[in-house]
Amino acid sequence: MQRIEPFDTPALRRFDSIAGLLRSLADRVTGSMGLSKRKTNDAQSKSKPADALKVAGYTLVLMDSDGQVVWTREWDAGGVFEFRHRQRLMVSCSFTNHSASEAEVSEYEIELMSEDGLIIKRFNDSFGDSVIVSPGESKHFPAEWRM
Amino acid sequence: MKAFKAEGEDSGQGRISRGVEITGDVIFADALQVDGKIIGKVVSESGTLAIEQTGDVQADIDVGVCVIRGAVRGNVSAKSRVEIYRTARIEGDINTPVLLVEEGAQLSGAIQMGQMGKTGKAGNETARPGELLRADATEQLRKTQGAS
Repeated sequence: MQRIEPFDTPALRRFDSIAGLLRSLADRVTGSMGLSKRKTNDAQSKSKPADALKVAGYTLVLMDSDGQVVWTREWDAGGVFEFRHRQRLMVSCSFTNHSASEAEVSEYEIELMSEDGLIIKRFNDSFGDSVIVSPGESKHFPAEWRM
Repeated sequence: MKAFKAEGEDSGQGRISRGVEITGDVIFADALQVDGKIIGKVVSESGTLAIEQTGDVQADIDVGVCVIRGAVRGNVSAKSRVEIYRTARIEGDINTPVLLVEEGAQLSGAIQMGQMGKTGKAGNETARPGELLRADATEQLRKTQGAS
């Protein structure tokens, strides 16, 4: 088997010392530009896409014209999933009025919930006029987010 | 070649490996990963179906959660949610209360949201008599930390 000897000639050692000198010079130059370098890094970190949201559930909140909560309900998303950059999330909740009285809905919110029950994203929409949901009637409330 | 590979004794996870083709109805409980091919029907009451990049499902799907990175030709119905990633190619309708779509995914079909089938529950809960409320207390109970 042929053995490979490490390169260690005087010429190579000289080249190594020149390279070391150039490296130290480069370090001094970049060191003096430390502030501008840090600024660049900050700008890069700001432009980085937001981290993934870990979604475990979602809530529909119905409100009347006074902003009072008429009805609210939380659903399980079927386990935790991650909502990331370049993704679109659509959620549709349905409300059926099984009460004997009409339900007036002027605004609604759909909230994404984390595993520990905290609201991590909120979508809200309001109608031009209140929507009346009669007893026995159903209505769908959609929401859409983009990351 | 093993068609189904258990990840753990009681994990409840199944796998249809690459190169395996199944024709007929596939019914599973907890989780099924598809790297191979299924022709027929895939059903689970509340389980998670993951169709990976090499997966090819030519079937109607009715599951709890459906995660798609491969090819699907058929209608997809999920009680909880459907996730479609950029490598996915889907020909068929989707019916789910929650849909996540990544840029680049190919979807040819209708999306129907909030109108689950007879067995569908998620996103369609209803107010029962007496449940309609002016809920000051409910509002107080809701946690709002971290909301944007």
